[in-house]
Amino acid sequence: MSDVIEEKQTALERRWRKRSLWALLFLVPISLLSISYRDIDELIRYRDMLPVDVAAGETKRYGGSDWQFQGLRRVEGIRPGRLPAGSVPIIARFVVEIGDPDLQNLWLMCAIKLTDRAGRTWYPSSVPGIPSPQPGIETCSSTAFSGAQKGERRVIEENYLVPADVADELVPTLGMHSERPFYLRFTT
Amino acid sequence: MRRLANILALILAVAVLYGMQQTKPRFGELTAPIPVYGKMHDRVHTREFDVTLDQVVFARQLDFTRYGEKKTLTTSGLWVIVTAQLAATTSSTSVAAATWLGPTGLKFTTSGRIGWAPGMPPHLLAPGLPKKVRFIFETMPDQVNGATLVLSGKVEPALDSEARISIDDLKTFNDGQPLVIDSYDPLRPLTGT
Amino acid sequence: MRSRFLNLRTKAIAWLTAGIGSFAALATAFALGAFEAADKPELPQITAGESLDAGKWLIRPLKAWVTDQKIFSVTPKEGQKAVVFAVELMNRTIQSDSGYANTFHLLGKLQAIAEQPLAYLDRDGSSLPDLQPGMPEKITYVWVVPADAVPTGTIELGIEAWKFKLRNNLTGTPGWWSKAPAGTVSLPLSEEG
Repeated sequence: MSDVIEEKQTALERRWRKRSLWALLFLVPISLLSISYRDIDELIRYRDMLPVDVAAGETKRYGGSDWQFQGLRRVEGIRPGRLPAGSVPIIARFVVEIGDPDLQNLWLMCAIKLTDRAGRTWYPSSVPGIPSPQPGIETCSSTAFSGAQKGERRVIEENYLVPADVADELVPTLGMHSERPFYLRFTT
Repeated sequence: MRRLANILALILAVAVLYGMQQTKPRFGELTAPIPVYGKMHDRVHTREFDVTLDQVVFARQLDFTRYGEKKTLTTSGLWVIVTAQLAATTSSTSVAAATWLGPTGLKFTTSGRIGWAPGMPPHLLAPGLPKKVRFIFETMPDQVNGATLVLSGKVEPALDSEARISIDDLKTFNDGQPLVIDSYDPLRPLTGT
Repeated sequence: MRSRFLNLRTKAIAWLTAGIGSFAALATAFALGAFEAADKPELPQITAGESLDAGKWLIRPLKAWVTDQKIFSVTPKEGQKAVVFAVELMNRTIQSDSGYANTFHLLGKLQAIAEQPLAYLDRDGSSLPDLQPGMPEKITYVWVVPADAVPTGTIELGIEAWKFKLRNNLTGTPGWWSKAPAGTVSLPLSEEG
């Protein structure tokens, strides 16, 4: 009598041990995720990871405002000795219609970068000898602190120093903390 | 017999755990960058920048003229002037931290006594546009042979790329002492770009 | 008869076991109290030319004087005087450090009114430069104080030193912590300028 009971119990034990081991396969990843999901979220929010393609001439809403890429242009007339050899100064021009005027929060960590086909990126840099922009034209961060109102149309220009051999294939990308990991990838 | 085996297993477990506790890497080691080692004249490739060390020159004093004023910087040891070429790999980056690591482990950071001079850190690098740069240190003569130049993006926290280049191409006398020139002008332009 | 003895024995053991803990507590409290009440070791006092190990720096005071003329880049205004203190400092740490601005502070009347001093490298007048490990340099401290508060005869300065800790509690890396007074400097104060 007791033998039969014992056998039943060991069989039950065995079944539950097997089930527990299978459950580990699910529990371990879940516990790792629950410990680190906040960090993963932080990581994603600070990187340009998911591109949103914008066709030439198209206006896209980003960071509460409507962005339109106007074009890249080379800067002429700087004395060659002032610039590093093989480099070319380029200005990227955008027209923005301000939607949500809370720019200081929405446009936080605004970064307009240029990328080439190989994936290398160039951040805006100061170009020695570049002429000052026309009044009213500022960089993305300056515009965020300029107190622009809803409905205003602003021109945003950023300066870059890029190698001459990739100057023609560069494409701008726009990223902001409020919208990351999504970023806009414009086509010229 | 069973009992003895159990006791031995327990002692072994205690020993292993104690060993693991004593050798656990500290926070500083866990978050330190993995350095890339190289020699002079090699193109040392790290994740964020490439560096090629061209030349190391030793001088007794630095003489230069700034704003019409002649200045002479003396030292109780030697001035070390390192010229190198830096290039960004895939993205705009900056290299601000350069340290002269002596053979006994002493760390000398770049000297701030000179003020502005061409090619001094911090260096802002863009992909495709290499730069010729200069690092100036102040050190003792016995910290020259067997030294290493440590370059990284920033001083604190040093998380990403770090290049360690051993200083092996020096002009020395027969007794191993480095060749020291009398004077160097840190304001002289860096030849080539 | 025998049961009586056993009873006594177990009782005694119980009493002793319970008592040991309280005895230990009493002994510790007594010992700590005794240490607290004991005289603390005297802080060393040094004068010109004597060396003292002050944590990160090996100090050797040289001279102290008062002036109302321009000293390095400081010009005392009307009614002010500059208390100037020349000292030789050597960096005892393994890396370049410029944290010697607060090593010395004025004692006596001036302690409450003097602000943080300015420190200059004697060689070239640069302000608070990095001191390289193992290379002693002459540093001049300048306090600008009201002219009527300047002491006559001798001046006393307090020395603050950091202690070296191999593994700090936060990151496990070596560092200098626990600022504490390490001694005093007493120098004759001369009038110059």
